[in-house]
Amino acid sequence: MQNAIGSSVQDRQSARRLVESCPSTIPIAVRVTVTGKTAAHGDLFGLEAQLRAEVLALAVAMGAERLWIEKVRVATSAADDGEALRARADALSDLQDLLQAAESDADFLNSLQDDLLGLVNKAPLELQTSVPYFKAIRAGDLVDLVREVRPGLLSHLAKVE
Amino acid sequence: MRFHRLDLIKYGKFSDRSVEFPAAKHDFHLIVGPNEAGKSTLRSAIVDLLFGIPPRSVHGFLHPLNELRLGAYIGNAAGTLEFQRAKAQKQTLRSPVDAILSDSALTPFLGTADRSFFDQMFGLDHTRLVSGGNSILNAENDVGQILFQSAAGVASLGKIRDALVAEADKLWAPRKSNERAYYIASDQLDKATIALKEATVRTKVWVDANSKVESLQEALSHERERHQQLQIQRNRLERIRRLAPFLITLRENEQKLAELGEVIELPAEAAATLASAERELAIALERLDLRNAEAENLTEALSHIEVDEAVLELAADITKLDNLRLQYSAYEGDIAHRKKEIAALWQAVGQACTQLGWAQDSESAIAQRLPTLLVRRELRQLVRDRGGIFQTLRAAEQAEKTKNSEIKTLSAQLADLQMGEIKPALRAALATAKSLGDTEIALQKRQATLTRTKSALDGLLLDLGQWRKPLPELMALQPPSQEKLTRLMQERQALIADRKADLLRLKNQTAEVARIELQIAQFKALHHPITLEAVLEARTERDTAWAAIKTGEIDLKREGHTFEEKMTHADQVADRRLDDVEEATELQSLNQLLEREQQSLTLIEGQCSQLEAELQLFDDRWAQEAIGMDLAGMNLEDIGAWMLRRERALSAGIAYQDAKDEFDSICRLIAESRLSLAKALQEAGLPVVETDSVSVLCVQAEQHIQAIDSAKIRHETLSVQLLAAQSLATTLKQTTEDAKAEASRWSKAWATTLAKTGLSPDSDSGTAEGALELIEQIAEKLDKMRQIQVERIDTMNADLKGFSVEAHRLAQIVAAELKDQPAEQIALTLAQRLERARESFAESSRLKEALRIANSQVLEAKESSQTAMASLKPLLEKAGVDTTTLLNEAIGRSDEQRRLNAELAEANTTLLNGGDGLTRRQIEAEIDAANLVQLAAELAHINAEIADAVQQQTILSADHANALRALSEIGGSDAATQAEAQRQEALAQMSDAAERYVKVFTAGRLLRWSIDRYREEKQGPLLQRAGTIFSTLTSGSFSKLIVDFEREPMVLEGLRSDGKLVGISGMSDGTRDQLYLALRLAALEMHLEQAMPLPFVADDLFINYDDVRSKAGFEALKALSEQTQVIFLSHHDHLIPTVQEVFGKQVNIVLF
Repeated sequence: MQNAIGSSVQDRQSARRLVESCPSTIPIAVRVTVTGKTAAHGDLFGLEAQLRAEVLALAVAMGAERLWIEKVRVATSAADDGEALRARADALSDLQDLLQAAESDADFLNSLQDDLLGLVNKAPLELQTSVPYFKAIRAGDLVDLVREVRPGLLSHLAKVE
Repeated sequence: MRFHRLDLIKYGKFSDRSVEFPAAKHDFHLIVGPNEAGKSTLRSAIVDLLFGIPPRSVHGFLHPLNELRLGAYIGNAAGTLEFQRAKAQKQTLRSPVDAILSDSALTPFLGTADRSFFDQMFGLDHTRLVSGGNSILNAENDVGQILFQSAAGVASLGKIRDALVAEADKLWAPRKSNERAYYIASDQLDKATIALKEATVRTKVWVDANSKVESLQEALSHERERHQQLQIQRNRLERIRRLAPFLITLRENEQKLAELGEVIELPAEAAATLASAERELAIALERLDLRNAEAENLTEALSHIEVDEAVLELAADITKLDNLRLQYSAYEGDIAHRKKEIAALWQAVGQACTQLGWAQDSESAIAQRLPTLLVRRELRQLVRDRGGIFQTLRAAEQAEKTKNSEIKTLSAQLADLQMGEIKPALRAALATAKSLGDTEIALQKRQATLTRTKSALDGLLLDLGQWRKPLPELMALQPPSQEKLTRLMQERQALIADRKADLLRLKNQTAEVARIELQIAQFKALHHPITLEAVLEARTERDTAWAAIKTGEIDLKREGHTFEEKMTHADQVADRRLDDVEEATELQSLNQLLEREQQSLTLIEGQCSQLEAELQLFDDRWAQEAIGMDLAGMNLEDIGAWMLRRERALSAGIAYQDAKDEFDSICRLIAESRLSLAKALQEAGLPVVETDSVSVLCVQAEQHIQAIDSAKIRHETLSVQLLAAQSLATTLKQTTEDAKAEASRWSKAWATTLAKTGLSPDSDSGTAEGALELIEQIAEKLDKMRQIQVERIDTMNADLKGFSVEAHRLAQIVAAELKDQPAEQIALTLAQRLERARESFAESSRLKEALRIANSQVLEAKESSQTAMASLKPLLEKAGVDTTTLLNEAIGRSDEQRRLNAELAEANTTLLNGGDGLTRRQIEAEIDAANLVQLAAELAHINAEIADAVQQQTILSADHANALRALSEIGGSDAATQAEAQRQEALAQMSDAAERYVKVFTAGRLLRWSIDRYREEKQGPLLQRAGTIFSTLTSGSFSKLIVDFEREPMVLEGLRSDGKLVGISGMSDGTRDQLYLALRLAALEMHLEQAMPLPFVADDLFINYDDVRSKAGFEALKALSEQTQVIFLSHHDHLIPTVQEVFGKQVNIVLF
């Protein structure tokens, strides 16, 4: 959480520079992507909505007319790739192994696809291209999705007591 | 890894405290200390030691935060390490000599365990145990979650999963809802799309509106131009009308100037100058004539006046002489008067001398004879002192006398004072008598109480009726106890009730018998049944008859038909009986019933009589008993109430006895008190009357005591006064002696002084005082005589002489004819002459002054006339004329020219100012060209045209504004842009919600799936081990844990030793905690099988357990302590015996 705010401070500075460098007649559309390896990976997984709200508030504070936040994406990765977790040899590391196994469980993937297709099929045309997961879900290729979600979830579990 | 020793060097409240953990087969260590002893500090010290002291530690209250330090000696299979942990930003691991150790120095001992993992996996306290117990209750229906939570020590797995599901639900679900982010954004998208469609513009409408705006714009500018032209025209006409009069004036003035021709220009004030000069000249000439005549008159008058110069020269001396004359005129009378005064004084001196007995010689002889001033003063002093000295003496003697008589009086009073001593017996007797208070009232009160209690007792005794007895007998009476009475009453009641019941039964039974008898009688009357007896009777008659026939008693022939009748009757009877067998049977049964009922009746009658007898016996017994109690005839029912009345009578008797005792005791007390008081009074020698009451004696004694006491006080006061008077008398005597000595000293001085004065030595002070007064008078009068002679008479004579000399000197100088006249006459005459000389001198001076003024005024008039002539001279020269008349004419022409020029300039200025910037030539051309007569008409026409133009403009402006607004409404707003922006925004939000939904939903599903898999994989071994531990913990109350796979969802249950299955919700709180502990310990044991051992720290785990459960808990930990070090913190020292019982006496127990 502290790291999230810390990165916000940097965001704020770079965003202010961005606003100052553009002519005042042109509004700026911004997509914020949080990247990098961080120990706060687990926290960020649970706080994605809060992070988005914080970035929006920041943009409003700088001038809602000038700055438009199109999207806030969290694309961080865990600091240690789960090695430390595995070495703990406790229930969480067992869970880590199980989560990894989920990628190759066809039944699970099919059931997940069925559930997610409910959303994908109802979404308007514009969303089909703008949400990157939708194409994969329609194609039934969910391994990447599961792989992406897994470390965040694990870090989240390890952090929350 | 295990701790061999833990050092709390500077941490929390500890300084240099070490805890030893010796190795043993069961590596179990109990640390016991009361609350606040620092057990929790020890627990956090272990964590801080292994993983670093956090930046904001709460343990820096005794030692400064940056000095906190912990140390330990740890070891495992690989080796040992002694190290310390400092509080710092980095390099916090130190050797015991404070050398910096690498951060990885602990890795061989800790592996990859971090702070939170160690705390979760190897730390357990009561709070966490309880929340763990609750969490497995909440997850009751999810075996996988229970197992996972227990194994990982993560109590909130359920919460995380619920949060994920809740978040996903808030983002999207198949059903549309305004709560869900996706659908909120979707609604916004729909709205924005509609707005976008509405905002799209149609081209033709815009073009039309635009061209309308343009044409109106053109018309409007054309109209504005026309308006401007008209304005210019109107301005020109107005200018002509305004300026024409000024141009005419201008031209007229120019013409007049030309007519005036050449003019000498003179100053503007020339006319004024000329007029004033002429006026001044006239005035000056007139004044000259007047002053000349006046001067001549004055000169004439001056020549007639003469002045006596000689007298005037001596004016000061003459004035002084005349003043002296006036001053000395009274001297003659004054001298005579003074001489008379001297004579009178001398006469008085003579009288005084006569009184003193002195001869009245000459003045100087008398003066010689007067005693000196010093002697007189001394004598006077002595006279003054005498009064005081003798006064003091008399007063001292008087005071001494008074004091002596006072001493005498006091002594006499003291001697008279009656003194006595009060014996303590009297005081004691009085105090006792007074402590009784008002004896009469007390006595009356007791008497009243006595009477009241007596009458109450009598009344109550009367209530006792015939069994009334004297109190002692009543008291001695031993009535049966209440319990016995109750029992007797109950017995009698029971007997009466039984009797009553039996009587009722008897009545009923008698009625029943009567009823049956009646029934039999009625039956017989109705059916006439043939009874067996009737048959037998008939047969017996037949048989008897037959026997008689056979024996021949009866003659067959004669009596045969009788026999036949009897035989037939017997047969008939038998036949009828056979025919009526039913009725007979019924009659039989009725008879039998009657018999039965009669038997019952007899039985009941027997019982009744027995009960009667019993009751009688009971009553007799009671009557005997009553007689034994001397209460003959007392009913059992009444004795209870009578006993109550007896009790009340007894208590009234006691109350009466108490009142009587009290009355007697107070009587005795009063008598005793009176006796002792009377005795004490007699001993004190006071008469005592036998009939006096205690109160009277009290008053007598009090008065006696008061008299003695006041005499004592009086005696003390008098003694003190006497003592004071005696000491004062001594002082007074001394004073008297002093006064006497003073008086004798005075007498001696008196004699001496009298001798000096020349008075007879036996003169008393009065005589001496009178003589002194006379001497004073003589001295004073002599003095006065001398003063008058010297100061008055001699002075005046000298003055008169000086005056005469001066008068004759002056007469010699100015009036020799007067020198024989007396001085006063001379002075008077000279004064009159001086007065006359002064008057004539003043007149001449006045005339001379007037003449001087007249001459100077003549000169002034001459100057004025010359000045006036000079002021006109430059004007005359400039005008080139020599008379004032010509000058006047020239000035008139010059002034006319100046006026014309001024008017010209003014007209010119007005023309140019009002000419709107045009030159005079342009204005002249404009005005000359204009037709002035038509001007007004032309102006009116143009004004009308301007008004028309303005109206046209207003109409066009309104049209233009409307057209412009219409145009802007079509194409001027950015509605379409905004709608598109909102659409994009909504799409972004939808995309965001969808993306987050996919992630969160996937995470939730993943978690669900993996927990199920975890259960499938782990439930076998984990549940088996946990079941064993659970059985230990519950002392065999549960034998193992079982998962019911048949149920959906699957549930975890405990198997009781009696084969009964208990679900988690069916377990008590304590058992649930034990279940959680069992699962945690099982998971820990399984973890330790494949991972590096670390010390397990348990903090007051068994806080709510009784001894049996605690022991079971330690048994479970005993198994764990074989695998790794177990440090158990507790504040219950009663656990020590239990621990020693489980682990043996040698177990390590640290008292904190």
